[in-house]
Amino acid sequence: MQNSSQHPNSPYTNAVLPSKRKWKFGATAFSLLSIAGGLLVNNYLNPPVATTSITPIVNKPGVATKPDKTVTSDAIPYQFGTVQIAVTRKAGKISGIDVGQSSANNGRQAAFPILVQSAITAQGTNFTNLGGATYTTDAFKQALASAITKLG
Amino acid sequence: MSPATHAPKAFEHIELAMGTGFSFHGRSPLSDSDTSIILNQACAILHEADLIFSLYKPESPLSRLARGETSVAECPPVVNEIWDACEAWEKATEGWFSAFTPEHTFDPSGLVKTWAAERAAEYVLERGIIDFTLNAGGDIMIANGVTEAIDWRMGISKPVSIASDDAGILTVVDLHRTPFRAMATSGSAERGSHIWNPKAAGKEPAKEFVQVSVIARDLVTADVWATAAFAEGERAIEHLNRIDDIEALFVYADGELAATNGFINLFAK
Repeated sequence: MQNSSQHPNSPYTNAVLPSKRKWKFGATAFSLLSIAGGLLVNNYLNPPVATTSITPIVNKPGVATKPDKTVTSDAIPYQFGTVQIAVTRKAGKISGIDVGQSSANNGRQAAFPILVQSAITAQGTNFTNLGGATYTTDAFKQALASAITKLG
Repeated sequence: MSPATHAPKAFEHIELAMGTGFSFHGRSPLSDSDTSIILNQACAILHEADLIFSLYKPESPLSRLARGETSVAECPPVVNEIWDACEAWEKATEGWFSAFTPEHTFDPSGLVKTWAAERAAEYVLERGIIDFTLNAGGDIMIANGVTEAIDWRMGISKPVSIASDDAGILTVVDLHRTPFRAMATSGSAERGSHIWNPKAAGKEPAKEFVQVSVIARDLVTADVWATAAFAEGERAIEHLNRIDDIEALFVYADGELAATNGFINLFAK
């Protein structure tokens, strides 16, 4: 672990602790990213519902970059062990996630940390289409409306 | 690139059909009006499939078949074609994909959406538009002629409803320089549990995964295996590892991820 500054009780980690859902490691890591990259996520949501008149926005100018920082999450017990991660933000983007203190007690996913790391790294890339479980027309229209709203 | 080549023009066409949204996105070398006509005709294929196969339309041939009012032989020939395809897929997936419902009716909707999408995409390709992607309600295919790097990359939603506050991107995959051209995702996030377990007593839906995304060379293959893997549950990881030209990313109910051996190479970098 190479934490320049540790904030075990940082609001960044508290904000993403799973409370309602049993959505643990994945959510912790992914939510941390979405805090730093929340704006990008909104833009990512645009492509599948965009119409010809909408230009995808890659970076919104005028939004201040959040300061560089490394935070360590609480140790979160889960079904197969505990998860504790350190997340480094550099130039407003998640630049590293260290899952070194996590454990899995039944070996269900030996490749889990590298899988999660790769998945998170990939989040930072731009794309055209968003895939997911089938959207009903209602959800699709709702998403379309929300994307248009967000585009302002 | 010869100087005589027309500059390709970007297009986006969204069609609401079969209860979901279909989005064609790409660049066409044809005139605007030709492009528009071709896309509309391609979408007519989707609507036609819907008229035949919808179980929400009481007078569709499939609804009448389900009520025992007609036979496959009396239905349009395409019904027989889909029936055969479903039987072949049921065999190929060792029974984990099944178009036969717990109520013993024929419900090929797990296949028809992507099957129709593929027909529509073929129609567009055959008419000279080869640089496009098609998003069929969250299942995506990429045409061979795609020229922009971003079009090779596809986001995968988190396993929550797109309307949820937590909605966002789970990860991004990049199919450039791979043999893969399609991704389909099965899950319970958008429509509740709409997949039944073809093997368990009472055919209760599988509950171990909340989402399975399958990447394959074509859309129907991806779709069928996504449905099958979701129904099979955890053992699908090993099962799919044994199938050639398939990769998959699994999300457990507790948020953990699992994947087939080759999936790690597909994450966007």
